[in-house]
Amino acid sequence: MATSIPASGHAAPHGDSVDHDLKLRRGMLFYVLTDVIFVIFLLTTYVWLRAFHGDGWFPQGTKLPDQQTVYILTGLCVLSGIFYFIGFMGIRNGSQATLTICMAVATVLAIAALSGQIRFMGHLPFTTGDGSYASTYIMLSGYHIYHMLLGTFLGIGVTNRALRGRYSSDRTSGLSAIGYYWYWMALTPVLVTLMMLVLPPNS
Amino acid sequence: MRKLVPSYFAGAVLGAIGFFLGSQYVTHFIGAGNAPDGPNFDQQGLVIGFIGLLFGWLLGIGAFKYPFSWLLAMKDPDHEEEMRLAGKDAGVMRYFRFTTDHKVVGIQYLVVTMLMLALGGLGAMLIRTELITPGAKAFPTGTYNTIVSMHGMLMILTTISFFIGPFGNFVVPIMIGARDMAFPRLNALSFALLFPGLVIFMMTPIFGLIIMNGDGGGVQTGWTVYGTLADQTGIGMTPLAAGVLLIGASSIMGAVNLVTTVITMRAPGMTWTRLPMTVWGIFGAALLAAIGTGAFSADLLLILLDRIYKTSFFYVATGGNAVGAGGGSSWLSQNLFWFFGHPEVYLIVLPAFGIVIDILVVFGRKPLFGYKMAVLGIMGVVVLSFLVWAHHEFVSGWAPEIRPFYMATTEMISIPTGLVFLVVLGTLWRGRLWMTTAMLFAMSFIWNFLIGGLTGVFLSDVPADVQLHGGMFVTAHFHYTIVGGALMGFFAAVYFWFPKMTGRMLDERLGKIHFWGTQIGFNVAFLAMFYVGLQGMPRRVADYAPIFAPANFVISIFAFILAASILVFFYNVIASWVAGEKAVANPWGAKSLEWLVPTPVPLENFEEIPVVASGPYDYGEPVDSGKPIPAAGGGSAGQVAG
Amino acid sequence: MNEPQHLRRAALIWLVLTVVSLVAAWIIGPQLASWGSIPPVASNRAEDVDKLLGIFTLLSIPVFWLVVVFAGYAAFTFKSDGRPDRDGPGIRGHMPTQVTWVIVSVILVSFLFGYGLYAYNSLQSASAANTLVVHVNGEQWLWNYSFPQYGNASSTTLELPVNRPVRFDITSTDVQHSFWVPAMDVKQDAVPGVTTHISATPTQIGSYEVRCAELCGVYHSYMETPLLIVSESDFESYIATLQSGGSARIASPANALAWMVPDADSRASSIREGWVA
Repeated sequence: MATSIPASGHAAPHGDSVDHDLKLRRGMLFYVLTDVIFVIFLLTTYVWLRAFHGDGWFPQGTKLPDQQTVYILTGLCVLSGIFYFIGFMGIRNGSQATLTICMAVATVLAIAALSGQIRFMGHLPFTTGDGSYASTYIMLSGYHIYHMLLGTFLGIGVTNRALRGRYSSDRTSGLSAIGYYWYWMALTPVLVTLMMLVLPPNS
Repeated sequence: MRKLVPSYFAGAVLGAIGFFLGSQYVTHFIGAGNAPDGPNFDQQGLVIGFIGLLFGWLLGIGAFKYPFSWLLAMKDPDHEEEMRLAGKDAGVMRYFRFTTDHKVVGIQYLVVTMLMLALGGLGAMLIRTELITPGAKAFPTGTYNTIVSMHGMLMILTTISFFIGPFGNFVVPIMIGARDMAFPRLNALSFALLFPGLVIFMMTPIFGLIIMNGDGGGVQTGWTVYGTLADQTGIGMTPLAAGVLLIGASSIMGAVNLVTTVITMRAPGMTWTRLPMTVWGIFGAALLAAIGTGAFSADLLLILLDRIYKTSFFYVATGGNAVGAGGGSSWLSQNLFWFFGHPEVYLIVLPAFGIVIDILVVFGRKPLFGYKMAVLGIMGVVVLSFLVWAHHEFVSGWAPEIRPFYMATTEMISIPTGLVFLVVLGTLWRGRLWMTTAMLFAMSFIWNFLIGGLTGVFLSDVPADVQLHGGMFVTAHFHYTIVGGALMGFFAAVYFWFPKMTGRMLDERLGKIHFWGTQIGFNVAFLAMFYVGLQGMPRRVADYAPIFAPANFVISIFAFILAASILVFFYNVIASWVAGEKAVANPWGAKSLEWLVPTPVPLENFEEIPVVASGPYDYGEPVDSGKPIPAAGGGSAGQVAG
Repeated sequence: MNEPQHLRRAALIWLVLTVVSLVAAWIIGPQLASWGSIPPVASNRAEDVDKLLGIFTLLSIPVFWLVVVFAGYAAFTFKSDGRPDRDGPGIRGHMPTQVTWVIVSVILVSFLFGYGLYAYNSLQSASAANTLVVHVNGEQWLWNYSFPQYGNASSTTLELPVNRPVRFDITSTDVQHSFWVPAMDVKQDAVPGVTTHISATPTQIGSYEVRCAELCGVYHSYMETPLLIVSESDFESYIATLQSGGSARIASPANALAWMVPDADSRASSIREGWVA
């Protein structure tokens, strides 16, 4: 789990040659890889069940969730990812202010998307028992919520640390690693929306 | 008292409280109709209880301290504090705490995986007791199916973790010249998740067979947990799926950590071509774990959702069975399962390849025969193992047109495996073999895995598989690969590294008894199982036709001999750990890095990080490179490669 | 003794053991069915597959002895008493051996694949005009059969005419089962929601059994029903009985546990005689 990865390694005690930032980035890369693979299997589930096109996939009378809300929530996630990237590039160029503001904005956007998503899930026009489209939609959105919860924790931490000046242009240890997670978190709802809504499920 | 908080003891107490609160009260508040009075468990309540257990446990062992101090941007821990967390001056208590030292985690894994091995072995003995004569006499069939499922699942979890856990943690960082794993806290966390995962898993018989209405409550699915049956089976399925999910998360964390460690933490000069084969084997296994586990986790997650929230991933609305709207697919469950399930058996056996080769080199007193070929063999298996899973579905009816492809890939995998066999034979040939118990077990791997591999070729062939699939032939085949391959490798590894890990030697005399008991018991039992398989006995039955009775009697008797010899092993481990002969730093005269540090290994392994100047296999009398060896040295043994 | 002598000796042992084992397998193989060591051979599929298993066995014998003899020879000949006082020769590889090994294993695997593909395709042959279609429906814990060519006459026990091709269309009402006739080498999963197919031609009149080969719940162990392969005229009278409503439904173990007797002998007789409706 990402939270237990030390964000800034201690000074090498005996002159070790290990590059701590590289270590963090490689570790996070592999963690995100396992997460991507997990999501690929969840999406495989979607493709598989849809390909079968049985009566149970999209029973008569099932309503689609409100598309506009989904697009807005997805947009918030993507924006949050963009702000994270701007902030990261900012500190690379030595601008503490850019980092702090962008991280704060990214975190607030993520929290907004998270709370919006939870509220939205409470008002879906179907329940888990309404066929495999509904099942898949709820499962994928639920996994996205888990992503966002973890991301919010990381976002608050990064913002807090940025406020206290823990990062500088040569001390970005952890920022790029968390970035990998953040971009993946912003990308997942795009995939889900594309597959669940943009491609009409009842065609 | 201060010593106990945080510790595993505090974790256990808080975990129990968390489970109780979660299962009894939280469910009540979110309106699932679970009354708070008296023990009344439904599936959702159980899952919430498990989450409560997990959080209570993590809180009690102090796993949240670092994430929250990071969140609040408190001072980064200095070296002194890191060392305290790694168990400096903590004495024995460091084994009962959230300790980051990779050696402590390795010992913790060693103890817990042996405990799991004992539990799984107990399951095997119950199965053989039932099958010793025809007729379901010992257990009701539902209970028998539960035992079969738990034996299978528990042994798979054991064998997944018993190389990566103990040896991946203890040995690999020292072998590559690192002070610790890449992420020590993640490492401690991955063990800290295995343990509650195991506790939750072991609630399966408690809820399935004891608390909830006897026979129907257990798990009827076997370890393959095919969706349609898993949706329908008793409440025991819920703790089983939740526990395995948690252990899966633990194994993903361990795998990520190991892969990163091997990639980034190698000492100067420790190039990829100087890594011991043990590291290659465990590295390959970690790659498989990181990629394959996701499919199984997804499968279990969908099963839990189907069971608790009546989703339709595997439900098919047919006849009177429909619970949700249907629209699910049974083949989906099979594919998700086997996409994990097949790489998983290679994940079990790859570390054994590496470890066995290393042990043969050390006790054969010769360099490795064909280093590059061995690496190619292991990595070839890693790549191919993701392309073979559908050979488990030759009779499922799914996609008959692509069966030849999977037949081809499955048979191709015997090429890299064959390379490993050549490496083994070439290393043994003309060595000076020192027959320690570790060496004996490593050599028994050759015989056992050979039989497992050759019978695997029979099963890879579609027409032959149609007859043999789902029968005892398959059971015997994979026991030959997993017990005969991985478990023998594990025993070899324990006898080999026990002196380094505990500072004591294992008793060689008991070791020989263990070895011969294991070989005789195992081989007779499972060769007889091939025979009943050919006769046509199906797997996982509590009762069978009289024609299978003689062979089953033989299997049971020799399975008991096997179990008795493993009891000798457990006795040997405990007795030697307490009062065995003290070990010197390098009792075997081996040349890889872990034998060059003192025993017991100091906290940060090395005074100074070593600079590696040569490979780990510099054994043997020098031979002139490129020229034929003079007759005294033994004819034209050929050139020196690599 | 020097290197070539060791090699020659091990090769000789290998050769002797291989030849002896091949001859033994050649003699024993055809007897197995009569000894009850493999199921009776009662269909064209079973004949083909037994031949295939035999060829695989013959091929694996030399490979098996190659590894066993060389490892075993090393274990006995190069063993040192206790801790060795000096090392073996520092050989790090031998290119010709390695290349030969790879080439031989590629050839073996190609042959196995080619032969397996040939056998697979010959079993998938097109169905004849007089093919009998049987609908098989798995249910916890019995098999339901119906014959669409005979007005959907249905039964829970199966009789098949000898020497007439059969196609089984298999599905399930609840969980996944696997339709297995060991004597006919027929095995195909019964998957809820889809229909799977397998074909075979029965060749031997006799009494056999149909099993479930996929763990399917509490009474999976008892999901075994009789199969009779009969003459064409006996089959006609079987169908006539079914069409006149003559076949009673076998009680599934779930609701009638009467036939679940603990004693092996009476269980066997209940399956093979008393239990046939």
